[in-house]
Amino acid sequence: MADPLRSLAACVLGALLALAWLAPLVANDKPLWADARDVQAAQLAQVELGAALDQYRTALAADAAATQASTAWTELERAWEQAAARSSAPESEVARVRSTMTDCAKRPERLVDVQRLLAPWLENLELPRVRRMVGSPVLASVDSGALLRLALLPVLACLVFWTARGRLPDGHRLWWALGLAASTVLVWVGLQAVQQPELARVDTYRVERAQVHVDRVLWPLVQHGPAQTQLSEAWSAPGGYTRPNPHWLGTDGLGRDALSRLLHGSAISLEIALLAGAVALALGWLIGTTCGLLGGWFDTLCVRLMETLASIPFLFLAIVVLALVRGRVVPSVTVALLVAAVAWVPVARLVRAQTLVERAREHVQALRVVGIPEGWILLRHILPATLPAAATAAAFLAGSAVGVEAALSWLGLATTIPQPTWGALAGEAGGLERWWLWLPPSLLVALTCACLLVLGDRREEPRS
Amino acid sequence: MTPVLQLNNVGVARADATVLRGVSLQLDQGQSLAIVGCSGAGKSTLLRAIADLLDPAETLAGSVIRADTRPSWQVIGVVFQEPLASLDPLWTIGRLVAEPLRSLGVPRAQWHARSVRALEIAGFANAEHIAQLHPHELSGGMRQRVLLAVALVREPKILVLDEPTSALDAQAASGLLDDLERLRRDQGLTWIAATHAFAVAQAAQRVLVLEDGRPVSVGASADVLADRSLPLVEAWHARTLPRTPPETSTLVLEALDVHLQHESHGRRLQVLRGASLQLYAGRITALVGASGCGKTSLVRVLLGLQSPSSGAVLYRDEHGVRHEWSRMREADRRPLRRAFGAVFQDPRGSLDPRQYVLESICEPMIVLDNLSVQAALTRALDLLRAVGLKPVLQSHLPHEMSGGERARIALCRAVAIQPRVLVLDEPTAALDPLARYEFARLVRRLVDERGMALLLVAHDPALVELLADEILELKDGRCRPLPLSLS
Repeated sequence: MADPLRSLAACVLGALLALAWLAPLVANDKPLWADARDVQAAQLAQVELGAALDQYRTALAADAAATQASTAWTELERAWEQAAARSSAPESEVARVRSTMTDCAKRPERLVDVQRLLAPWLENLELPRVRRMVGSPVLASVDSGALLRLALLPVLACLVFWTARGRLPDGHRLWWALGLAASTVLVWVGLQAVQQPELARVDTYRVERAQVHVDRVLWPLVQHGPAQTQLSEAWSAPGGYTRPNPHWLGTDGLGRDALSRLLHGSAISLEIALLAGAVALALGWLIGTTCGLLGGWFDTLCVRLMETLASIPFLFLAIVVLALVRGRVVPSVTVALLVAAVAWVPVARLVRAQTLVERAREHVQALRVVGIPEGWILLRHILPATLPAAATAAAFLAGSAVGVEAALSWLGLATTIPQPTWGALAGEAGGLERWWLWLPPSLLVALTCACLLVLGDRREEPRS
Repeated sequence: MTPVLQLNNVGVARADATVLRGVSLQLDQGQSLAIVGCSGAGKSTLLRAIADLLDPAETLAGSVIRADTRPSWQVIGVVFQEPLASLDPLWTIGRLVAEPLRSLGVPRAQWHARSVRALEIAGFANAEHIAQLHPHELSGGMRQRVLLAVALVREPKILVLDEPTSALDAQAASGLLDDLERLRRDQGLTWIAATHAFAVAQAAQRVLVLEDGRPVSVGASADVLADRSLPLVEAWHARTLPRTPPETSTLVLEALDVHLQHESHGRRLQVLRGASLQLYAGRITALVGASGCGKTSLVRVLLGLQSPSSGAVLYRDEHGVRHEWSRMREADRRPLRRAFGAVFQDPRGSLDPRQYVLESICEPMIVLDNLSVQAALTRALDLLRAVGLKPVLQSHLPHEMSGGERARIALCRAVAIQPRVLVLDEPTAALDPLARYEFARLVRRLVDERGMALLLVAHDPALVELLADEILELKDGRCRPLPLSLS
């Protein structure tokens, strides 16, 4: 059965990636769930309603052109709708006011009616009169990429489970794949549907300043956002600060919580590694098998190209390319593709050699003798035979991609500034004495590399 | 005379199975014993039990009693199977032979003299010179003798040999057996060899026959080897198989004056110089020849995997139409190819290690004959039954089966699409005599039933003699007929 070390590596890696993908839910300055009233927004709406009413009155009093009065009326209607949306007034009351407003539209003689109608809306605002918002401020604030990561969690769980068990599910693999893809899409759509934009205003800052009143609230484990600065607490070491929301791993020079940034940054670092590994595998596998099968001038050309690519120092190449493409493409994808663009070479070499061996094997010859089409032999016999070696090489490369990303980010080349990655975080320490900033990301880089190496160290299938 | 070795009801068990049980015998000084049996019968396990080399996972039942009570590694010399793998390529022969002396505490000054003497005893005339060489400079037979010297340098009373002749040609094997006989006579050495080779069994004084871990017969060599009721002995003695020659013989494939040269690094190598042969439906043609004489090249040309430099291969299809097989384009050749089949040398290599056996057999039927999966499965199961394999095996991977089973599966796959020409390239190289005999009977039956033209490429004179209707020897790039009896 599966090797226990491999299972452990798969589980650790899966847990790291799951934690990184769950980072918005684990470390955030917004509550996971809240029953809140946005006092400030309601007050603003009330003020705007008063101003709009004044303007309408002034426009009528000035007896100006009908157009000016009607613009002011439109403004008034809009401001009232805003206020209605923020108030806790029952639906029937809102409907009654709305119909009366429609009656009074463009009839200056009924200004008094309007004033009487809106008077209660302009009285002093009390908390019970502010509408309740119930839902998840975290979900309301994340982008669709983060939602997609959350939706991919079941797929990740399945992958980790299968890797740890050492084999894929028996039979109907296509159905498994389709089912997982469909469930991802469903979860993604569902998560988008429950997003309520107004909830995004519920966060620590506004709650502390009583701009938002929370009745019931569930805060995440770490109550700091990755970009939330607090200059008074800059460079604080872990344990040096104990208040309701301690910084477990200290803070950086802008007072941002190191743990929160570490968790949020993990996603990008891990994704670069996995994407680079996957692209290198696909590219190397394709080119390697093509070279091995076709041979001739194409093979020679590709091998020379590979040798040329392998002879260029990687960091030098990376710095030049990143300087050229800077700011034009999503940086994390660029870095992954850059690593893959060099890393496919060893994969292709390995696969090419393996293809040469496989196509000379006797069972392949025996199929060729009876006239089985070359395409079939390629798909059913040669490609599956070269996959283990290629996948092993790609796992090793993914491990090194973590290191490369860290190096480039440390140099400040890989990602845009506010976006945390392991390398960037370690670089922000700015000195060895602030160990709480560089040690944890370095440990995670080492752990990830180790897990990928263990996963890649795949023994050949038993053959004798 | 006191017995040097006595086995009382010896058995060996592993966690999952009993591999050996109920072996009792005693050997006097200067006696020799051959342990024979099929692959997996427990021969090597018994040897390891005698030499006290069992794995920790194996438990010994019964008792092994030696007259000499010193630790077994001082009393018993062991010669393992692989002559090249057992020798460190970086050491000289003299050092390799002397190595066991270190553990006996013999002073270093005596090492050279003793290793040279051991080499002399092992049958080297120029032992002083041999001691300076490295293993790669020796032939297979000489390496086997070096291993013998390594075992003899400690002057053991008992010598244990595992398949001593399997890597040797007939001449080297008989030389080794002569040496063993001389040692037994002159020095009173007791030797025990596990083997499938008839020659070794004949050379030993006593023979123990194992079958599935049980002793089925033990006694004087001449008596046991005359007992035709033992399947293994029957397989050794079998010279001919009943055959039903077809009434009319139609020519199917014909090679005319085929020349082939390989070119590598500017050097030309003329492999075939006008080889000609005819394959007739329902006939088995055997192709023999020394290693490297071009047998495999000729097979590749016949199968259309390689074009000859000159000459032609002609193929007649079922309607009697003649095709210029060797000069056709591959695209034109492909529809005709399904009349061909091949089983190559290594029964492990001729099956995809990742494919289940049943899948392997069905694949050509589904791809070439457009059979439905259901129909292909039915036919494959019929075939498996016809070649006498247990239905359990269908869901096995090749590495889970024995060599004989793999050879039969490969044959099954080749005949599944009813080829008109079948080439077997050394199909039994890795099989024990009984499995080889069974395989030969199966091939004969299939050829008689289905009337295909069969080309058998083989080294093994026993197999050729059993099967061939016609024997061709490939020598100097030409085929010439040999008389039907090789020996």
